[in-house]
Amino acid sequence: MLVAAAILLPLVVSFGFSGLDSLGEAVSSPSFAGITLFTLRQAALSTSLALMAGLPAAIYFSRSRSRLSKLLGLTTYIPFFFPGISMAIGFLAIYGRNGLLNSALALFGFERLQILYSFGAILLGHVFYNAPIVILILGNALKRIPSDLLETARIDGAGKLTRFLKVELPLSVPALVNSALLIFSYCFTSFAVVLILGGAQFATLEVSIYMYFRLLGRPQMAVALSVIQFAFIMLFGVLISISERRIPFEQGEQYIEKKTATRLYSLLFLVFEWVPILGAFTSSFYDRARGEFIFGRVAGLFKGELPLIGTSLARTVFNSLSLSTVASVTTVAITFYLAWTARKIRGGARQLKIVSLLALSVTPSMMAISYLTTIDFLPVPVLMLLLYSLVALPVSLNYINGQVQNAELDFLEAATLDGASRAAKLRYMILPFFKNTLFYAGTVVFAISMGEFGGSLILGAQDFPTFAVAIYRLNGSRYLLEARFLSSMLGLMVISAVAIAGYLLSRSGRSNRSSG
Amino acid sequence: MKALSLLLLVLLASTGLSMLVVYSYDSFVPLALETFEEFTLKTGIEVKLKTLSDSGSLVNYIVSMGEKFDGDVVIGIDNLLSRKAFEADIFLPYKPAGSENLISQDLIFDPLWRLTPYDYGAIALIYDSQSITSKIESLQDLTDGKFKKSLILQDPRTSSTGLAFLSWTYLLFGEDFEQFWRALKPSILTITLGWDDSFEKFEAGEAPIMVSYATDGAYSAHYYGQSLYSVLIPQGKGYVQIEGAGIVRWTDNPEEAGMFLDFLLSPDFQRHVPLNQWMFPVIEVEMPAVFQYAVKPSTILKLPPEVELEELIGKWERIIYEK
Repeated sequence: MLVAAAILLPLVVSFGFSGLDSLGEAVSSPSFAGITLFTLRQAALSTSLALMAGLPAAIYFSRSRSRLSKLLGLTTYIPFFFPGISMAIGFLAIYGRNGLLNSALALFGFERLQILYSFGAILLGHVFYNAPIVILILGNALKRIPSDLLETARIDGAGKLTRFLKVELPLSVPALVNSALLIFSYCFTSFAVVLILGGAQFATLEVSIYMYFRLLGRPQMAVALSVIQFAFIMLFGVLISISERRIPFEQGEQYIEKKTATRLYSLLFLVFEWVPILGAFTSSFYDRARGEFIFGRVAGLFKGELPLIGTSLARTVFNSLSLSTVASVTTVAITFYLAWTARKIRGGARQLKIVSLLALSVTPSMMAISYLTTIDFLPVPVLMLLLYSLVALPVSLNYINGQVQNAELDFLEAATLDGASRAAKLRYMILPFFKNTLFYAGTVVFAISMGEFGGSLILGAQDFPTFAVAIYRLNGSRYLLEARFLSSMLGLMVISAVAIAGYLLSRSGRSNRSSG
Repeated sequence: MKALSLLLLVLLASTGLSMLVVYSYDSFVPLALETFEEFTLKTGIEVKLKTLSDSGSLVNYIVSMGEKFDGDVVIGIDNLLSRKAFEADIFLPYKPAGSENLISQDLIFDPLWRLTPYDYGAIALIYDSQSITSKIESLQDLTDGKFKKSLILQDPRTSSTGLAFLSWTYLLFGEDFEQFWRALKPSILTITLGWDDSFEKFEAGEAPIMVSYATDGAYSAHYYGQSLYSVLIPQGKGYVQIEGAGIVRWTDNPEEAGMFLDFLLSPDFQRHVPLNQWMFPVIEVEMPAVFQYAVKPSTILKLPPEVELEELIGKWERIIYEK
């Protein structure tokens, strides 16, 4: 209840300050219809394209245990953890007029393509970011279809296509709908992709909320747009919850078969996903125009204050690291407490679902402006901490809750009978038991917080700039290459943190099994 | 870190140094780095510069922050944005020492001297003469299909250059300016929030045409040894942007802020304006030779006070966001 109130109260109060008049003003403003229609149109098109791009890779992922399939699994980290700012700047390095792709085309005598700063660039960015969600949700749903069911269909003479259309696809409709809704929701609230790859002419509601609040000095308009956006996302959230019903069969053994066409496609898909990440990184060491490595310039940026960000770059790294660390500890503590309490009370699971839905229904920009219009007496780092915890709450809650609900904790009853105190049980039994779970969730929250951009830009751009905000400011201010280098560092840092945590978790899982 | 800041403050107090917080736009940084130290040496007053993208955002930011705004002086408010700033009563009147040296009385913002002019220059379209081989003679030419996705410009809601360009198109096209913008839309590659971002994209070769300043030919001659950019001011009818600095009404350091404005009008500051701001200084100083490539408009257009900027911006917004 408290967490739900913490989410809703600032929004309600800030809307209360603005009132219905501002809502009317927002709706009747010259740009409102255009911005809302554009937000819906780009989200619908991006979702369709991301589904189309992700489907063949999801099919391959579900029917193979190869290394390629494992790499596809790793790719599913991108939409949740890879910082938006790193992705957008990576795109500039690859798809810019003088980027890697165009340089390669020019080398072979082809015309350079104008890809960036267009509607197409926004769609491309959204497909890059969201197609892996199809692998994660639909791919895993297809994987779970029992192999004997598919084997029976094969014996009955069904070809691969017939089997997919008549057996696999109907069984995975809920997963397909679920991934479509989730992708639509993400694209609807897109921020970094639209702001950096599009330009001011392509504002979505989320970008407009930032612009009206921070750049155009019209906070009431920003609050009104937040309320409108909240209504939309809440609706998507309810639909996503409905679509998350159980798949109508027990999990079976993975059905493995050779799929040449989808294998080839998956290879291309991996190139599409990883080239902007690795390519941006490798192309950011050297300045071709000046014929020099940029390490010295980047090191120079760390010396002294930069007027662009109002502090030193080193300070922004410190800000990001300290905030993300504190956010990961507090978020994990809160979500563990919620999951543990829900385990013991009736209707607990339902309450958690509501909290998760509410947290999913707000965006960083919305929460940032609601904080600044209601509880701005709190220091900015505290507001940012609240924001990070809220942004990472659904992911942390879903993961920790899943582990807590499925855990067998009979030993606790024995300890209670032996007279162990609550504190002793927590310290010596519960926390050690969930150590790996908490560590993994903490790393994930840390990664999300390090990459958070939209809310940080609104809350802390002036008073407490983070590393992601500093990169954005450098990118727009004649430090393009330095920003590219730093954004690659941030992206790789975040992805590595999550990958290492995942690896350690799987290793400890294996060793637990072997010793148990 | 807090302890360090405290220590710094104590040290400043013990040495008699005081501190001014100055806000400006991003592209002001090079000029600040070259000149502010001189001010500190002369006066003992430390200057901390903070930047916020472009001037439009800066004015909006100050208006929305009100008394919570932490700046003492703001640099970069142009003749159009000054309307909003004066309406919001952000600046204290102050007539700086050296104001009698201004090269023209036309540079003065208002009789109360709420802003002190420090540079000026004409808005122009610049284009890469290597990739644009056909001659551009008017803004209307840009609506031709061959210029599809060729133009980078700035958002008039956040950028003073963007607002100046919007006003210029209104002055050139009158009531037909909406029609012009509708026709121009396909030629726009992107709209950036500030001039710096636009120029970075232009220099990176993302698009061959950009809304900028008539002095950019001088910039290119200085940095590349030749004037790579062609400058377009159709029929010589240009719009001149005058930039000014003002003392924030809520400052605790009005005296030091006044000394700072005096400095902005002094030759010590003004002689650095041409090669950093790529604008014209407001007092007589020796001009660098490359300024022979800077184009000056033959006719200067002025936006009548009765033209409502908010209305122009509203119309522009509607056109840009209609799909």
